[in-house]
Amino acid sequence: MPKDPEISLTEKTFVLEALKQNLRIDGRDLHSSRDVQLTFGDDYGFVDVRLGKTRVLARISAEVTKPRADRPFEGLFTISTEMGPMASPVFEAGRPTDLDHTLSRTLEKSIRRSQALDTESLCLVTAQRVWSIRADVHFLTHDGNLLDAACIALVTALAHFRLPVVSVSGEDITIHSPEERVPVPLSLLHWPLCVSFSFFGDDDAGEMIFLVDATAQEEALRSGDMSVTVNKNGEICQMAKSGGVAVEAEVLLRCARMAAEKAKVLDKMITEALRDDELRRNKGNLDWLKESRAENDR
Amino acid sequence: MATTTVAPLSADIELSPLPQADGSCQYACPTSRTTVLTAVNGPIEVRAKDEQPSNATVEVIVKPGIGVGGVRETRLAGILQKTLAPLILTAHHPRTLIQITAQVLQCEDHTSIPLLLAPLLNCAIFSLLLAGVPLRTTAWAVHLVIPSKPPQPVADAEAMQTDATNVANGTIRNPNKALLAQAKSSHTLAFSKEGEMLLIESIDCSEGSGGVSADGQGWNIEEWFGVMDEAQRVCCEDGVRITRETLAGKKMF
Repeated sequence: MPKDPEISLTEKTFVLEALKQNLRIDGRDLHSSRDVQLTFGDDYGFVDVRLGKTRVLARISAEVTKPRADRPFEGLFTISTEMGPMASPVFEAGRPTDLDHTLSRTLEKSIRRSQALDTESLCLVTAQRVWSIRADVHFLTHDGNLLDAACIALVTALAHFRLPVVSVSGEDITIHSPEERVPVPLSLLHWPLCVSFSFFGDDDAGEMIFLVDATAQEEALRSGDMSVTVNKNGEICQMAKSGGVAVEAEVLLRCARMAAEKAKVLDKMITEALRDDELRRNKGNLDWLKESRAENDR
Repeated sequence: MATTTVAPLSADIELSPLPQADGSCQYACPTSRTTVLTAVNGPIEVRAKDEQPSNATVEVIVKPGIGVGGVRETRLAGILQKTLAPLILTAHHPRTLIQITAQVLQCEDHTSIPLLLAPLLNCAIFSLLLAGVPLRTTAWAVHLVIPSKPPQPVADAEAMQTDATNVANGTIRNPNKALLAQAKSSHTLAFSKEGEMLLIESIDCSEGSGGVSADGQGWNIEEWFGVMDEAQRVCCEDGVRITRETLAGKKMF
């Protein structure tokens, strides 16, 4: 099957030498990210994220199922990430690559294991009926930093999604259509956002450079990488540096601090995008501010 | 039958939205809200077991918007593969693979094969053209439904949007959910630019009763000929016009 086109020696030297002079091929600052563009679909929970040329789509769906026997009070939440040849011909359908595994694992740790979605709020009838929330992440174009884009897409889609209202009487449940009762947002406890770093050069020589939001070209040339998932309160949910070049602890601290700043900016950007979309959907309807909520004010 | 003036067919088409693919296209149907995205890569290296000594292998993958692909997606991919492969001049690129990947972004009814087939086929043709894959001819597919009689007024005001504009010869073109719900039968037909019939996918929409019967379910042959004539007209007039207009800026022909 097709391989990634190998980067020529000339190109490699050019990119690395430029980085030593703090220059990036696309003219960005070493520590600045590409602009994030969020587009919402007609349905709730459908988000299209563009990060430069990288494009990731997330879609949330919900259905009522039986809970797991050992967790009778908890709803189900699954994240499905599947890469196909659409993102790049290198990815074969039905044969996951290493990148595929790393991505789904990191997203799982960042969002599911950090308890971003309160699964207990998805319980309808104990041990019998719960909501099962499914998040499908589709990778459309791969130009580096799929992880950050996927994380933004997932969090935005979860915050955008609306769950139908259910009324329970005894063991019977009624799912109300959106026309009957206004659907409610999911109970999200926090928004974990992922920021990835790419390392270049040797630490021993004191020439370690780290980049934020690397493109596919930079990813192919980097000597190490790390991802930090952090929410707007600066709480680290996940941190992964699997192999690669050895990095001094001080650099990691700088990375973590930078990630917290970036997450704050992203958080604000997502909030604004969601608000704009809500205003666009509810033109002339001022009741949306009073929309019922599943979560408590904290 | 009263001939109403039919608004010309239109579609929202975005060419080359995906920079990594050789050819790609996003197609949205304005009346039915169905949006699909296709990417074509080719000719690329083929797996040894699929290699054909004198032809290119055409592979189609369809991915649903929600969940993982199942029987329905395999069926859709199969129909698309069988429709598209004869259009592609596969002898021009022997021992290679032409890979067509389709992603359903959103749709009115993800269970309806005819509904998804028309946008997927149109979108795939655009992607193939943009990828520079040699084609024998271009094609266009259209989804038509025969409404049950008498047509009931649609309660939802928004759903009425199309009432007069896409009804012709007793068929409704690219119906939305409300109109599809009261359809008697659903048909997708594809015609080449020259008017050759390439694809028929017709299903009966009545629940339970199934098949042709006297109680107005299924369809009779006169109705079906009406559908065929209308589809041929749409594909050969509107379809060819849209293809030309969309690609005009690309200076391909």
